[in-house]
Amino acid sequence: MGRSVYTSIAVDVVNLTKIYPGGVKGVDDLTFRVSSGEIYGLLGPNGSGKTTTLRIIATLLKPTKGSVKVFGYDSILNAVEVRKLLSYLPEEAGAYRDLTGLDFIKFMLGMRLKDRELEEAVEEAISIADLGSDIKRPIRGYSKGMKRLLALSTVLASGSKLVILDEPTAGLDVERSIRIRSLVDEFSRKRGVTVILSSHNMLEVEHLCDRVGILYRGRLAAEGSPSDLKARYSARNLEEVFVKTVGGLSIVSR
Amino acid sequence: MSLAKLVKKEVMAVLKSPAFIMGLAFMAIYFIALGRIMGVATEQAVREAIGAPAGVLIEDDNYFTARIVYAVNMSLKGRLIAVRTVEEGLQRFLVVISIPRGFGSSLLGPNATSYVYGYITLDRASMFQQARVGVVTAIARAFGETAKLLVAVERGINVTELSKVVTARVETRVGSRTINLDVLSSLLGSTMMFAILIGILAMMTLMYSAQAVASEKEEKAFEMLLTLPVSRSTIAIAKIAGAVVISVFMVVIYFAGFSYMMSAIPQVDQTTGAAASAWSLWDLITYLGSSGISLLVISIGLMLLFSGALGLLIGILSNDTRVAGALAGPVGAVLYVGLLATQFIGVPLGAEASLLGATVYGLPLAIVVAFISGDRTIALLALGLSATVVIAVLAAVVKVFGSERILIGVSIRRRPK
Repeated sequence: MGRSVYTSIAVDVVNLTKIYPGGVKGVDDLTFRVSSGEIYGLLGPNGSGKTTTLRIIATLLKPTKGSVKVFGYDSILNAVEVRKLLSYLPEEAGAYRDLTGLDFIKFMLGMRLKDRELEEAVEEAISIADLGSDIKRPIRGYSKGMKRLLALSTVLASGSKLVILDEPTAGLDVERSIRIRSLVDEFSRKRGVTVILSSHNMLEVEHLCDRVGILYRGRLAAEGSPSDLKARYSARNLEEVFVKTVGGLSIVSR
Repeated sequence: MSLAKLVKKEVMAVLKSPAFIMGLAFMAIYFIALGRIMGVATEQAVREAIGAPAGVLIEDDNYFTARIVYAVNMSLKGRLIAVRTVEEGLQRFLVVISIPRGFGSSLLGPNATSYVYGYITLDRASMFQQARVGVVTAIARAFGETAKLLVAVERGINVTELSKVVTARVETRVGSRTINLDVLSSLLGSTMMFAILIGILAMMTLMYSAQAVASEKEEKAFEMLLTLPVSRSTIAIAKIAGAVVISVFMVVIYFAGFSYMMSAIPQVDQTTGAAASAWSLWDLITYLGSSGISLLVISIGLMLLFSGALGLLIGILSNDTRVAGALAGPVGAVLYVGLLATQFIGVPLGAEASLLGATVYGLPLAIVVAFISGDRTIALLALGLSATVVIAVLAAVVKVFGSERILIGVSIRRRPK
């Protein structure tokens, strides 16, 4: 299993189908590509398959059919190689209640890096998390936003080439959401990190993502850059695009 | 009003959980079944002991002895039947009383005391097998009372001037070995004590590791952990090792506390006998020697490993901490109550004891039985069985860690109508 020639393709999802035990279809014959350095957004209503897709890319779930390649490595055959290349921020990611924020950063980064690199990454994570003296307090006392920034700091500072963020700003206040968005943007532009994120927030996706895939019932209903999509559906913003692609099929549950 | 609604919500929230209901139902069935087994075992033991005939081996050819035996047999309505050897007697009867040479003459001597031997065969050790011991004591008492009367007549004194004239020394046959009853009860008692102590810790380990994984899943930190660049089996092994390390901490602290507690209790007067010695772990340690102790230490390790791995398995397959708790509680209780039930059902004192190894929690008992019956292969077989069970559970943990079940859990869903 060597690297494929498509090194400019970060993530290659081909005919991906996921059927859960019990027969629930998570993803249905989904195909899309994410180029290296791109910020790709997955939009869709609850249960449309966003989290399933992200979990499969992150090697947490196995596809029923189809394949996922991350920088040429197969997500099943080379799971550990794939994990070396990516960092995953789950939806509502928490952390170990009784560890301190600093313990958590050191643990997560220590599993990937060592020596000098580790020290630098820890410093970087501390500055991303921006928790002040709270970083040395147990996580159980952290607010939701603090936990989210802590988890995100370990993901961004890990130096991974691919970063997968499941609803990174869900449930956070405006200030923290803006901070997270600018951090993601910065890491993508300055370091060439590839980002795949899912979101309910149309504004976030419109401003942050180079390209967007709109998922509905496990299938890709539309794909393109925000401006392309707006033009194609003669919509003023992504929300209208969303309603036009998905709304014809069903009332969007929000 | 609103309080009633709130209480109802609290109760319904728990009762609606399939895991809780299944756990509850399982426990009910388990206890009913166990109750039946224990009831039958008890009934059987009591029935066979009451009124059963006993063998008597007369090695003393004194005329006075003959008179005593005759009188005792009359009072026992002819329950005593003469046998030629202890072995022959034990094959036919539950107990054999042996009257040693010189029995009659020492009763008539200056001290006016003597003793009889009681022999019983123990094929299993349980509370109710003690009924056999009861038969021996009852017969010995009959010998004592009768001898007292006859000694008084022979000497022409008042019977009240005589204190206890006959004592019984009870020897138990376990397989081909003879072991003093007091020593045996002390060994089995302290083994049980030891097993109960370790059992509590093992149960705590099980609960702890189940809850730890489940809460890690709840906090979603689990998913970040699983996407770290390490193999799943490494994570699984680390988790098991972590659970064991923590339970070893607990063992050390608990045993230190327990030994302090025991040492703080003042020594009980020796004349009260078995009750005082029945709980001495020290007796057990000296009896087993270094090889036995090493086996016990290994059994502690296996029990903790087993509990940790089982807990992990439960935690992984549960979707949240509540389900994990609802499952880990009954599983731990089944293992633990099963261990306590052996007191009633009886620990087989033979090769069957090795089967206890399959429960892992019963391994210490099997090891002690092996030492009592002098058959070390029982210990090795039990150890082998325990190790097999533990390895199977460990393999299951590693396998589940590699599968998606670890994330999506096992859900009990009702079929849509």
